Amino acid sequence: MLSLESVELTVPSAEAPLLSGITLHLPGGHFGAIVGPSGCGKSTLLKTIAGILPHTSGTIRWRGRNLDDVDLDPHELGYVPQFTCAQSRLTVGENLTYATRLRREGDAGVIRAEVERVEEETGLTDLHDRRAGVLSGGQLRRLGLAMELTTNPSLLLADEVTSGLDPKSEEEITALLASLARQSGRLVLLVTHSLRFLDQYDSVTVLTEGRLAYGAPPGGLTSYFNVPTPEDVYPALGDRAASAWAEEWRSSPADLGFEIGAAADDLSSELTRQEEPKASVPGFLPQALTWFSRRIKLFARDRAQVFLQLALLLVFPVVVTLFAYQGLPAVRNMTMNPDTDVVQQLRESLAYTVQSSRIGTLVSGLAMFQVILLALMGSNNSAREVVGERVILEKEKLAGLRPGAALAGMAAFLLLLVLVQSAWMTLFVRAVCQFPGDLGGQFLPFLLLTAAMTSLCLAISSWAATSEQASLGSLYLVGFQLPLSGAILALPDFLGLMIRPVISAYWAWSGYLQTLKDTRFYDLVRAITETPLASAQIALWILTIHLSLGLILAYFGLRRSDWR
Amino acid sequence: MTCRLIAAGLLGGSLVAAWAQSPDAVPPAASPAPAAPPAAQKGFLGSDVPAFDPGSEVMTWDGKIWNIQDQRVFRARFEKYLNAEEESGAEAKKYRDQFKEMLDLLSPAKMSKENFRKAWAILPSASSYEPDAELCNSLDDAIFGVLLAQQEVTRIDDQNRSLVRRKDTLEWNSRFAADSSLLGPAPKNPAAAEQWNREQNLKRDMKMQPLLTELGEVNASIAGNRVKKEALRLQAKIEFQVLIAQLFLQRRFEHVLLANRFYRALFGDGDNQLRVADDYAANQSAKNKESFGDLAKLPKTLGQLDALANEAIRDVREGVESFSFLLEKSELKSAAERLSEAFAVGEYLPEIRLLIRAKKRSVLEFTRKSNQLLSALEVKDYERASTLVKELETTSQDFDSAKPLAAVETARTVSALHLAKARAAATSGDRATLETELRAATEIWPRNPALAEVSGAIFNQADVQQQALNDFERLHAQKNYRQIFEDKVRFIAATALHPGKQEKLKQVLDQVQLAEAALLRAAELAKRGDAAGAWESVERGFSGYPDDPKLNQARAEFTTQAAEFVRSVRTAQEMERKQQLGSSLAWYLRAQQDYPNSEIAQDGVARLASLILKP
Amino acid sequence: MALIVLAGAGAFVLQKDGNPYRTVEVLKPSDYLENANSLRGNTYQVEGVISSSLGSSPEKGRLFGLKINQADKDWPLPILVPRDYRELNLQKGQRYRLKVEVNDDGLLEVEEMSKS
Repeated sequence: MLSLESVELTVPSAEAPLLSGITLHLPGGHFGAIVGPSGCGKSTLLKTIAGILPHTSGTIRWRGRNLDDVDLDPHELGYVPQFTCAQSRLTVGENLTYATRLRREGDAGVIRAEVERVEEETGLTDLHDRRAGVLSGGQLRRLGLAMELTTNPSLLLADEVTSGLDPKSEEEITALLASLARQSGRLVLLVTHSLRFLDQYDSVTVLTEGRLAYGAPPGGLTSYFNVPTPEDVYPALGDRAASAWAEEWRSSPADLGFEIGAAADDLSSELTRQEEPKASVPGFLPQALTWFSRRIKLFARDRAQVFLQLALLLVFPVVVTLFAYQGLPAVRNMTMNPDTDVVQQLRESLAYTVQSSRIGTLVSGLAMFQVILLALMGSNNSAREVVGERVILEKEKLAGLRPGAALAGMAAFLLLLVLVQSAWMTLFVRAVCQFPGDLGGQFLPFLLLTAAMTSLCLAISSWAATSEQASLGSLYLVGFQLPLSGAILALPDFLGLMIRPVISAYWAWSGYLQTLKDTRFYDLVRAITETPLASAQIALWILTIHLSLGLILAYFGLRRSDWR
Repeated sequence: MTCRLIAAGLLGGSLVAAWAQSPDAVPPAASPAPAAPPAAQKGFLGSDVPAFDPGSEVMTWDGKIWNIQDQRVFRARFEKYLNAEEESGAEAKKYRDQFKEMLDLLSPAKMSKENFRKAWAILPSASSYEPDAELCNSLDDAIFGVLLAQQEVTRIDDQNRSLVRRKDTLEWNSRFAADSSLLGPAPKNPAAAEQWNREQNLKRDMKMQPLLTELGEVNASIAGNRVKKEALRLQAKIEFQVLIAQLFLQRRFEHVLLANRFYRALFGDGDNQLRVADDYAANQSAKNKESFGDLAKLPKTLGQLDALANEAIRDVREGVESFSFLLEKSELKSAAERLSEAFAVGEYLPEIRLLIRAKKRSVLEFTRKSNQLLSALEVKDYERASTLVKELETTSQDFDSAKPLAAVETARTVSALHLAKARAAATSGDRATLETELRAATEIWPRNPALAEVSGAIFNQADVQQQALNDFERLHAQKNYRQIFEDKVRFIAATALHPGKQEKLKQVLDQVQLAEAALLRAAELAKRGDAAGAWESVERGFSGYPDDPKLNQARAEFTTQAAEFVRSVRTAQEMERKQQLGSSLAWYLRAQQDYPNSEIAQDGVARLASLILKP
Repeated sequence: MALIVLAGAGAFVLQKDGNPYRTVEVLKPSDYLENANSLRGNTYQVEGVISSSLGSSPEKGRLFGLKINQADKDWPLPILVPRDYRELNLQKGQRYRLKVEVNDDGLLEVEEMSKS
């Protein structure tokens, strides 16, 4: 079923290849273990097989198909990472339901059936309503397994799922895996460094420093390595160089049993495969909806987040209105009579300037303040949206999740937040400070700004390696909005022309102020700021562009592979 | 002093003037007395004799009061007398002898026709003596006139006698005619009788008529002749009386005596009554009445006149004696007074005439000096007066210097006061007061040396004034106002009395003042770095006085300093001229921007704005 | 990367053209001051700050002084705001973009105006 021919994986950052000369042939219905000391490349091999890491040379065939040419069908592969990829706030059942919905088409009934099946298979039926966050380690591994089993994969790769568990759980999981392999004819590969349950394995692949040292049924292990107990294998591995071991294995007579078995399997699976009803990956929209609904649920269950969001939602507008809770002051005009005494004119001019700086600054400041706070809220919305769930996302992607769908789901969720935030800010401040101007004209820039900020931070999140990075990036993004907007200090002309287009805050602020064009406030703001104010249409367009840009970037960020 | 002299002389002078008979005829000058006159009637001889009141230096005569101080005429005459030699010459002696002889011949004891004729014969000869002034001739004529009149009277008497005879004849004839006119009996018929009576009467009347007529004529003639005769007589008398009165008034007392005697000889009817006044009042015209008004006050009888004349002669004699006495005592003042009094009264009398020159000389000196003093006081030459006073004091023991000195001092002080006021007025430019005070000072003491100085200054000023005026006119014609301004003090003083020129000067000064003000303001502004404001200030001043070199200079200077602003203004004005309202307004706004305080710009903007917005 | 650049360029271009009168020639105040008459009948765009009110008449409209900045200098020009705009509250210090026509008096008469 699975055959690897001299698979090699080199990365520029490492001197020695991570994998070298790996040749394996493993049939279906087979429970294989990949063992070796730490850092020998077990997980790497698994990832290579999964397609997460691209091998540099060599061939990997699955059921006769060269995986270089045709990728594995998501349903065919099940990959269980070491980390938990279940949402702790969701129950087992919910986790499995969402996982299934993301991977498989079908109505609610089908999904439910499927969920029950895998629960059964993995023995999680009793834990259906238990929150994943309270599960034990072994239960979580089982859940992980279960989530992969929703697609009924023929190749199940389990990366150290038994590590860190208590002996009982380990035994259970190992047994489960064995059963999964035998019952459904799956090839189950388990990466482990534990040699306790050798008898459970159908084969053992021993890696050392990226080389294949042994790849045969576990029975010959100790004799091959000339060690009394399996535990002595690792030290024995250390006695010789990895290349020596690899050399030795290559030159040793191949256990043809596997090979033939594997070939036979291939044939049979070739024949039977067409009859298997192919479960298809759900469409874009269902996936998006699934993601969206899951996100909502997760949000609702995350009290801290809810509280934070509410706090921001309520406090920020209040903070804004603190500066003008008595409403906007009235504007005094200068006399226009050219015959006025020069001193009087100067005095008036001075008073007007003072007033301008006072009221103009107030109005401009209020506008900008709202913008910045909304930007903050926006960044808060999405800064960790992707990066916090990167693992899950990657796994889901591996399982067939379209990045676009995930994005759509995220976007939908974030849109809700954005709408509420911008609407509330606009209305509240307008009501308290009695801002004149068109409501729609004021709401739109804010909406678009918050959306743009959200999307841009989403993009950052999707490209950032860690949460901290993402947070920082978002912070900087928001942080530079204000100074580079030109609302406080005008940039030099040419610089301003170059920079302003990418500063969303400027456009939102501009667009907002345009609604005051018919009022004296506009004049005062114009008086104090050298930065040109853009027209409302252009502002909205630019913000839309930013928004789109963010989404586009986020899409690419989501699409790229980022396995930890 | 000579006041008494003057008093005495006043009398003569005025009387002489009134009659205009004296060879030294002078215009009448009877001025009222400055000093309070005493009661005119209080002379011991009454008002009939010229009396001098020493207390007030006033001469009274005829109830009139003369202040001697004003009688320059008399003084002159007196001085002349003092200078003259005594009339002790042979001719004079002869004249006096003749007089004595005539008086003697006509004395009451020796009065006879023969003596009369002899005396009469002397008259023409006496008249040849010049100082007699032909008076003897007049007397001679008068006597002749009287004799002529007497002849006429005689003729009239003869005529009357013949007329009386005729009258008798006529009366007899008429009586006869009246008695013999009856020619037959009267008719019985009453009516016819009446008729007949009437006819008879008529006839009688017709017969008597010519007789009666003639009788009437004759009677009339006789009466007329009588009247004529009387008139002639009276006339002769009066004429003679007039002459005597004249002589008296002329103070020819000796002639008076002589004339009186002739009179008596001529009219030996005991009638001494002076009828002059009455007759003349009745017969003469009003004009003559005036001149002879004095005659009303003449004594009533010739006898009185005689007595007065004698009295006067005696008075004079005494006066001369007293004079001589005082002269010895060196009391020149009193001596002079006595002599002048005596002279005033009896100028023609021999006592006066025969006074030796030497004696008169010292008096002359004194008199002269006194006269000079008087003159000096009169012309108010108080300096001279005080000098003279000092001299007089030395020469005359009894000269009272207090009064003149006092007068001098007073005059001096007052004059000085006025001068001081005048000076003050001159410095303050108070022309009116200056004039008043100067006039007052001059009036009081015309010869005040200080006056010359002040007047000199002022009159100098007058010359200077004229010069200044000329300069002003010249500069004004040249439009050199600045020069006028520089010298303005001079010109202000000069034009003070010429309102027309003053007006012109004021205009000029105002103009330059404005220009100066503009320049000052401009300088101030320039100091503060406000070149535009300075230019504007100069520009506005310029419009009032375009020829001022200073303004021109300043203007040029500021134009370069405030070039931008000036260019804006000029362009704006240019555009306005070309009626390019938009451009002009824009340039004015520009100018206003360059210099916000600019009034030119402000006005321009307002002007153009209203033009543009005019519907 | 390309998209960003594109977006930037697009914004840049767009920003320049927030001007509703961009097709109209910009009036050079210096030209106007030199000879306004030669510009009669032409239409221009100007942008400036209202500096003073010079007068008004019910028929002709309102006359204002507009300060236009050219070559780092302020040029005050008179503009006539016709009756049609009498509702507009024009105050000193407001910045406007105007489309003006040079009328027969050589005066700038406003055809359109909008705050800038």
